[in-house]
Amino acid sequence: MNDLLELTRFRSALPDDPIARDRARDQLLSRIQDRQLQDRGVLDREPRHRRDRPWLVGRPGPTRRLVLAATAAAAGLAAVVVADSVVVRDEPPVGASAEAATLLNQAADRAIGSVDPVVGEDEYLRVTTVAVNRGSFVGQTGVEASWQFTYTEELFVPGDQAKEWVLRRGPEVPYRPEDAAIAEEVGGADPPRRGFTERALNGAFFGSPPLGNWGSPTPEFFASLPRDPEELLDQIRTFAADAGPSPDGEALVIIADTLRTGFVPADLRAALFQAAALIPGVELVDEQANLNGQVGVAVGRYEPNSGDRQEIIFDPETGMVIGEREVLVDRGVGPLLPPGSVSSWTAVTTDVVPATMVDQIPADPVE
Amino acid sequence: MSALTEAAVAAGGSDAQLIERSVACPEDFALIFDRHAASLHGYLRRRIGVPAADDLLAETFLIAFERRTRYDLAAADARPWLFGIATNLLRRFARAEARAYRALARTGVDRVAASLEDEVAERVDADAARRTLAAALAKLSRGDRDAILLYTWAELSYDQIAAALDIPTGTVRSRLHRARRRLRAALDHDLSEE
Repeated sequence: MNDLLELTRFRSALPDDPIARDRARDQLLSRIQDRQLQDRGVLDREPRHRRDRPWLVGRPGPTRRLVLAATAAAAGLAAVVVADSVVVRDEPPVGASAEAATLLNQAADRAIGSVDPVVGEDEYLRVTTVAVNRGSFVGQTGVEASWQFTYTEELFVPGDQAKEWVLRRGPEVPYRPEDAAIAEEVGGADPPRRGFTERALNGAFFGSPPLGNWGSPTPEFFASLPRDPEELLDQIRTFAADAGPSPDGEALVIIADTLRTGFVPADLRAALFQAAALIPGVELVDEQANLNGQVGVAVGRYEPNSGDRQEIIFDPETGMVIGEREVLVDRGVGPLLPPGSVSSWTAVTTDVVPATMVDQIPADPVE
Repeated sequence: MSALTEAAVAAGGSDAQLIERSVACPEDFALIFDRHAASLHGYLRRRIGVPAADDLLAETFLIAFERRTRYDLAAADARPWLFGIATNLLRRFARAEARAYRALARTGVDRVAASLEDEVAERVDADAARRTLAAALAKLSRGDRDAILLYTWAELSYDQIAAALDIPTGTVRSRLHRARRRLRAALDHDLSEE
């Protein structure tokens, strides 16, 4: 029997659907129109500023300040374009794609059904974060050099309020050998940060207590938030205001940043998953996303105003958050990060450890 | 110059020329859709049915549009590029695709065809050879399946499959060889049992 003939016959008589094709064509035309508006309005696009850990907000390095200023400028322009394209579009899409929404809502159900780790008075909740970030430096020639560095951080939140929180961060090291080479070549850029260990009551590291808002959350702030997904998303959007390249994009960034803190209570985690499912443009990106060895699904949102995609990676079976990552979709940054590269990611795990272990952490910087 | 490229030039330039123009004039990219959407749509529907195929068709062209500045202008025909993007997107559905083949093998009802056809057609059971073939397709590795289906359903050449999957032509040859051997073995085995 001829295998190729059989295979050629297999599902060979499926009916055509030109109307479905027209819908796809309309989507393409709408994207083309957006791009034309963008080309007229925005000359330069910068990545949005990644919110650093709340306790580090007060001390951005030179590179971060540079990016911040540029982002503020780009955000102003981008807002004009967004307002413009709303007029052009027939009707705005409502919520995430069906696939993404199903997975997010499933994760929400599982999160609701899960139990937060119980942290005893003589125990700590340990949040371990492995992060890869992008460093960049614009040299005198105006060419942007870019590389990636990584660090590991452990945050210990005490079960006993009267005890100090402990933050222990390893040194920033080049992610790959080629990153080291570029970072060295450009010189003059930020020197990699050294590791440190900080202790403070109520998480007030470096003398500044967390503000208790989306940018600098506390357990009390989390407790005060609504659990209704629509109300929650409203609050997030209000906080995002006109930050970031677009309101929907910024809302998802805030959700991702919040989830990766690692100490979001289960019911709020569920509401955040549900809120993400309400954001237009959120879609399933990868069913088998591997982040630092943990596999989950990645849902994300492509942001046309930056050319990047913000993703949240989670386990839909357990409702646990694995981390988040940012992908350069239609732009590259230097030779090491061509379009399609993951430009930054954060993987987070939590467990409960005895106080005796935390007490033994030396005060010296981590090397 | 191939017949296809010749015709393309008559209709406003090769794909490569159109894509090059679309960098400055994005609206020209719509012509790439008009040239290739039907065959890509058919291929996607054949693999995963609706509504997934309709979504992937749109997504493929949105991604292609965003990546048009990086198109290899030496490639006159954009089909390998477009099918390559679509193949990457299909990975998300690899498990669902295999499940549908297995269900067809087991029950004789093809979910993918059923998603597209009216109720009467839906009830028509597949013949034994189709069920056997479905079972064998489910067992192929993803890479082998991509290669053999791009060859038979998308009608791409060895070189075009190599370009689409970004693998050497020799690898395409070995994948097709292996896939065909497995499909033949399944069909022959099935025949000898009856």
